[in-house]
Amino acid sequence: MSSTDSVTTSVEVAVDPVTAFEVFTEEIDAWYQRGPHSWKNPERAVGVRFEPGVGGRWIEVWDEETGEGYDFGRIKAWEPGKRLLLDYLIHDGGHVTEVEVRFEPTEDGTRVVLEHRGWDALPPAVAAAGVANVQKGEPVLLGWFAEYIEKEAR
Amino acid sequence: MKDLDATLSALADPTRRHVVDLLRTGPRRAGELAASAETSAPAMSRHLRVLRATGLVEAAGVDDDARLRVYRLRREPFVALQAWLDQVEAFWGEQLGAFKAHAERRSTRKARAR
Repeated sequence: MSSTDSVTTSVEVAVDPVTAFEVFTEEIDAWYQRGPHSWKNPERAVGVRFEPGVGGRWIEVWDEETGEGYDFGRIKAWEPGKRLLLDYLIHDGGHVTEVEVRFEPTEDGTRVVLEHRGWDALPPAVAAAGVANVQKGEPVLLGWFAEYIEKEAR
Repeated sequence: MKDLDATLSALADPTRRHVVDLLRTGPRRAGELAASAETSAPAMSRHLRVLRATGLVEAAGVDDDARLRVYRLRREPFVALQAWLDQVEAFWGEQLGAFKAHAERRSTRKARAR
């Protein structure tokens, strides 16, 4: 199942790579889409942010003042204008996938390439446990998996 | 997966999770599975019966001689993983689209302000 190890998607944007990186990180709260699967806790979430630099958190903010929230992941590489590398937690069991965002210069701006990888390292049992969590009302990414499975089960 | 509850309860057992993880690397005989999971042959046989009932695992080989039978994962339940990944891709595609719209709106504003 090597073909299932990574997911890649990209977009071309009409700003230079340094600006693109800045907007991607500093302004994530302004562009991040609030879908049903975007939040760990939709009732408490007030925003989303990156703590700049290696070791910083990618956090769903629950309380602006205390900084309390849920860690989507942790920053492993922070290279303004070039690259962002993140651990991305799949659920609370500590199973981690990896998200890399590359900012590649083009003639008219920047190609932003996002690769989410490491799915093969996720044991099927973890995926199933994720479905169970979703049913208990703890959706993160696995919400989709659960929906699909439920559709199939009907 | 025809029955989600059955699948989840099958995988709630650590020995059966171990079997599924092991079978990801390739087919195995019941004896090998029992040895790896450090369980008795009759106990493994019960676990395999549960896994076969959910459709996660199938047996292949000589059916009337259990010693020669090999167990392997069925593909179908894991096709769901691919569908999940398609959804992950759609999710990031939508997020990057929103990022692009925001970045370009913002740079137009800045250009006008200059």
